[in-house]
Amino acid sequence: MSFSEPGPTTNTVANRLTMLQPVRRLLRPTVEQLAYVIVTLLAILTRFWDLGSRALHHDESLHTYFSWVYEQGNGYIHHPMMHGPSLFHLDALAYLLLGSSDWSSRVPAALFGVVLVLSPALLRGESLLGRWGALAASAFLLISPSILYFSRFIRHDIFAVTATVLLFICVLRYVERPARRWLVGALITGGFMLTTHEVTFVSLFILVTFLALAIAARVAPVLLATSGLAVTAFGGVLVLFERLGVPGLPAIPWENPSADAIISFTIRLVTHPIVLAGLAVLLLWALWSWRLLVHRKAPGESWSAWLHRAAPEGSIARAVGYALTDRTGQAWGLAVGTALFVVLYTSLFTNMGGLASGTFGALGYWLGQHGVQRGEQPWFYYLVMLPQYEPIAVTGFLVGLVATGWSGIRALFGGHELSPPWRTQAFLVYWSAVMFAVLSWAGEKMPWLVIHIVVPMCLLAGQFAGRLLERSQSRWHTWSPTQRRIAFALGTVTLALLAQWFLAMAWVTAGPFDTTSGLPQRTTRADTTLVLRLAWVPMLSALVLLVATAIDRRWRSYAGAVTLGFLTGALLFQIHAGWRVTYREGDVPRDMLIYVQTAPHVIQLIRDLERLSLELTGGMNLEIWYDSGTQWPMNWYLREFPNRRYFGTTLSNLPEHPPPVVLYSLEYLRPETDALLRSQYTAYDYPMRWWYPEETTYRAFAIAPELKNPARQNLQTDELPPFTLGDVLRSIWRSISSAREPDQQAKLFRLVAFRELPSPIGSYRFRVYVRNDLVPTLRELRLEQPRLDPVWAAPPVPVGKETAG
Amino acid sequence: MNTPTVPPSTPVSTVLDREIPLVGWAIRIAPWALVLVVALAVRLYGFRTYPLSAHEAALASDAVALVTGGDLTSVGWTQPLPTILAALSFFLFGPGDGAARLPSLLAGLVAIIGMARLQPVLGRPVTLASAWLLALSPTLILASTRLDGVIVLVATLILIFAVLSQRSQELQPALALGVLAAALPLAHPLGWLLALALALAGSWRWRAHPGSLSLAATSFIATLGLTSTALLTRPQGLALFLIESWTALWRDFLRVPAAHWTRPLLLLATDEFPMLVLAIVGTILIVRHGVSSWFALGAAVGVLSLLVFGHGSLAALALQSLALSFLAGYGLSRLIGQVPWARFRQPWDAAALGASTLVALVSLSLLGRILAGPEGTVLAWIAGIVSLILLLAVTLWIALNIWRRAEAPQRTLLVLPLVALFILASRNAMLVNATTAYRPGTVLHDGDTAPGLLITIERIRRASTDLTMFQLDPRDPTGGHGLVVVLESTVAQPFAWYLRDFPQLQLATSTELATAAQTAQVVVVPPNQQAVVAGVRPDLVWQPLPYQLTVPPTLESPWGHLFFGLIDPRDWREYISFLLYRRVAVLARPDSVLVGLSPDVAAHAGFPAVP
Repeated sequence: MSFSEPGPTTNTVANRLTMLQPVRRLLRPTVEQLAYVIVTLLAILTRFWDLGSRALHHDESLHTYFSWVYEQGNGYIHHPMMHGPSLFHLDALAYLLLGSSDWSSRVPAALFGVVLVLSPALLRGESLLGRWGALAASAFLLISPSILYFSRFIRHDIFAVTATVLLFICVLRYVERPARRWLVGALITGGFMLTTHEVTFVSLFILVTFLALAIAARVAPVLLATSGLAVTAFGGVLVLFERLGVPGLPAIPWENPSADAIISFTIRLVTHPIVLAGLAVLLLWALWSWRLLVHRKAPGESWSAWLHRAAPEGSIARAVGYALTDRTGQAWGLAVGTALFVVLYTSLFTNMGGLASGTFGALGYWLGQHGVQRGEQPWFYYLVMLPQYEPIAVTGFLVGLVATGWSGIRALFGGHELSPPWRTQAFLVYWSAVMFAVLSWAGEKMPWLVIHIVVPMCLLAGQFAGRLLERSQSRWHTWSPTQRRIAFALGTVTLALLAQWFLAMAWVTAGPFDTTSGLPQRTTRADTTLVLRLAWVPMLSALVLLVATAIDRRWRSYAGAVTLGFLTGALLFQIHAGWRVTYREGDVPRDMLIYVQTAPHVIQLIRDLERLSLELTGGMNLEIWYDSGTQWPMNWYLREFPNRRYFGTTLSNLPEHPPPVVLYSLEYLRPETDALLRSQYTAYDYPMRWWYPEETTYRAFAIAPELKNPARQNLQTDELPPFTLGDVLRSIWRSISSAREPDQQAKLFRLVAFRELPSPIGSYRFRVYVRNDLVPTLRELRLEQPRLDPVWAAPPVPVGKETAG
Repeated sequence: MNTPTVPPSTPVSTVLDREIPLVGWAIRIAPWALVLVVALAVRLYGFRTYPLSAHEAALASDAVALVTGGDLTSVGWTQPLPTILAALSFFLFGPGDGAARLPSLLAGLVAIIGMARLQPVLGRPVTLASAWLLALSPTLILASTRLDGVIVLVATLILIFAVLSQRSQELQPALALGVLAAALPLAHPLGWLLALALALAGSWRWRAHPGSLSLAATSFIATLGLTSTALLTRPQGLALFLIESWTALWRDFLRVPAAHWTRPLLLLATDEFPMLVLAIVGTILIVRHGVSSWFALGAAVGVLSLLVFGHGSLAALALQSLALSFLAGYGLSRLIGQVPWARFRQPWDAAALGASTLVALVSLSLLGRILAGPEGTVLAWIAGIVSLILLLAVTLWIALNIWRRAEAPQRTLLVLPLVALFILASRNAMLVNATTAYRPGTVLHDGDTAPGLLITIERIRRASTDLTMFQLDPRDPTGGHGLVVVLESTVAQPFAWYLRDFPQLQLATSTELATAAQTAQVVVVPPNQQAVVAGVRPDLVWQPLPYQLTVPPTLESPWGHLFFGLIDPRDWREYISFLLYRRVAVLARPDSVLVGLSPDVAAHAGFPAVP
């Protein structure tokens, strides 16, 4: 280097300045960046705060116990009943790093919950959600009660839904700009996704069918016709077989999946007429479609080249063409994705059988569960659950459904091209609708599955809210101060009308409890039938305001302000619902979102027993016996008690030195055992698990003829099965029309607004036997501190009889 | 091959792309942000250590009633604004002690932010100094951590000052002023007096603009109407509010002039001592500089009015602190301005301050030792005194030598009293909600619920869980709250609040008590009613329970002690002890209640099973 060369110095300075650019950017963030920082902080706060206080749900205790066993070095064998292995690996890692506790058990779920909230930031493109839309979607995911609740719940769903969102993001980004990283990312997240939960098969189905539909619509619309014909034909075959009395498909041997049973099932399945007919239709369809496609392709032209030629840049078909030719990207993605799948399902290569149980086993087991109908939830389960917690997502979906359909029809008949944002919108509508339909059809319906429906709906609502905010922002800049004041006033009036409606409904419906006929029931205030009707005036006024501003051309620019008023009201309601169900009553099943939950009394008992153990043994050496009915979650909660003893269902006698504490579920406790124990013990009864009273709340909404249990098909009338479609529709109409009755309105309002239940919650009970000599100690210990000396007791007890002694 | 031809979309959005100069912001708002952080920290410290007082519990119960559609009591109608704010908090976060006090916490922060809006009138140094004093004022900290309209009143007043200080004669300030003026009586009955004063000021301010005046009046009335009827859902609300609020104003304040007039003064001499000192300095400087006579006059009139009509209530004490904070803020800002901060870069000036500090500390130690007396060991005491005198002489000699070399030693000394006052203010602020260092000689906790009450509540709840876990019905769908609880109405709160999920909870007047107690499993009565219940329920196990904290009797007429304490050196030590630790010779006994429990409940609650 020569001294006369000024270059290096200049370069060094320039380099340093370049290096300082990120610092400068950090010190001058944009509003958007700052908004994401705030969302991130709120996501971390809401997901992690007080994470361990809620009692572990029965399923959570299974997951945590087996993760703990794995972390302790005792291995993990995948079983389809407990879904994919990723949860167990993540929880085991959490225990390894943080120690085992209720809190650390939920850390992986909370982390994925934070990632889920931030994921829309990857969809900021104008052809995706848009920048305002992505921000709004993040906000909606942040305050969604169901997503918040299940982000703090150690089940597989939060992992599955986050992985699904990330996979779909990769696909959408790849379509927008076919960069290799998105292809690799899609394949890796796809591999991980399959290690979470079987519901991801539905997600994959949604993705594949949407891509297929989009490609067909773009390059060979005739395929849509052939596919439609094939589906119709297969449907016709099914009807014919039913008329001919052909039996249904053979039952899956999920209870006893021995090799013989599986072979026998496979043979019966592949030789079944329905399967054979299905294969025939499929083959015919494939050959026919192939022939049609080959005619469209030039001779010798590859499929990817054909897609390049036939589809325009930026289309899904073109992106698929890019993906098919990117061998390197495919190789990397498939290699890493497969490695993830293999490593997790084989429990780090310690259980090679996991590969079979994770693929065919999982699919077979859960298809088998369809017929079992665990929980016996009706087809309308999610239909009645969603509006109670997710008004923003549901409204976003309904608006999206109408808007997408309308735009699609207009484009079809108008012959014009649909925009890329419409494609994203259509995908989100398709995702929400198919997921909703499939989960409503599935035999097992559980509240945690609702997040698979809510997430796409939130993204959709975010896209619409983004457009609204974008328009409002541009209008705000062009408006005069008076127009701004009008807009602000309209938004405030809307919000005030909603508040007025809420307060009026609350007042009218807060009558006394009627105790004259058995179970006390809340009544409306006396002579308030008219007032109840009037209470709807504010809500109707707000809706009229919205419609009027939307219709009238001069006022249309203010419709956004009114909509934002509604949106703010809905946000406040979701905070109300989400806060209560997550932080205040997370283990009290007043909410439909909670289902069957371990009671907080279990946690209280464990704390008392820990204190007793420390007092008596100086450690966790207290001897505790427990039965089969209490083993979950006690296997988890008593894991640190080395002298715990599981005795199954029967206890016929006691040893010479009986254990200090015995836990017995009332399900297995026999009167003679109770008498035996009561001779030396004092008994306390507590709920072990308790559940939401479904019969008296939502089950009577409609007839559910698909349920195998006839007693649960119809809780609305005295009619007996079988039921027709007409019966079902009539039952729905009865429910809707009954909402005109003041009592029904009041009941529904107080249920949704305050979770006031019309009947007590049910419970699975257990009995705690404390050896008589330990009862006084336990009573003192469980009150945390010794009884207060009445140092401030000003007057002595002034009753002669007491003080004389 | 993946050559993308479609560029990723990068839409333009003016708002989202706007850059925020964090450094510039930080420099501009850092002092205010620091005040807010400190204010929040001292308010959160001990935020829930004291259970809700009877008044707070009554307001909280009314807030729950408002949000769930129940009927409000006279307490709620007297102060609709704090009730509505608490109701909103409960709607979002559910009923609880923290949620009940959250609006007050936020209002306390709003008061400090509002102070920043006064910068154009008072100047940045004065407003910033006043904000610091508001942040550390024990009275305002207490008001910010209690569910009451007091801090809302204070925050509204500051916002009103901010609106009044605007030069604009347009309609908008009039609208805002009307709304804010309505918030005063809605927050607290004393607000009527403030609203009256404001009406006079507003009439003068807009005497040439009748349109603004009528707009202010309209918005005042509309706000009163909409709020007191909770947005028109309870039409009788306005009349009830007016009746209850005026009744309370007359009954609690105007009818008994000069009641508890000593309390504000006592508060100044104790908890607000730093504010008092700085306010005196501020007043002297204002008079000397002839800055603004209305400034001092207004504060003086305000303090006098509060002494006469304030009834020693928390509202009066808080308003007094607010008024003084302006004077003290002026004094503090001037004192800080007088300190030659640049001089501390000079070694001799810095050393002069250090040496002076040493002299002061040694002098204090010597004084303390002299005042403590020999306490039986005369020789050791004398030896200690002599050593300290020698040490003082040495440090004094060093200090004098350093002083001669320093350039402005006198003015640097100002730092010493400022630091001392800051330490005292911080201590007072941190200890106001602490139960770890119980300070009986404070007037601020008069009427607060004794912290031990929650333990008894917890005992009753656990006993109820054990005994009634499976008594389920829609009023108690989870079970476990089935005990029959009877509360004598004069001591019903805060028990009714803490046992609000017990469906079989009854409030009984003294005449109904005997009948109601017949089936009760838990009875709470004042001591003078115990015999009534014991007559019909001899089986109950009685437990005395500290209920409400009271002011020690010596503090009701402390002037003789204080006077002699000031002039008699033998009492100085005691006075300093009182100033720092609020120690009093005779402790105040909290008011007690008696809890009667049926034997089975008493056994499960861990109370002696002897009737």
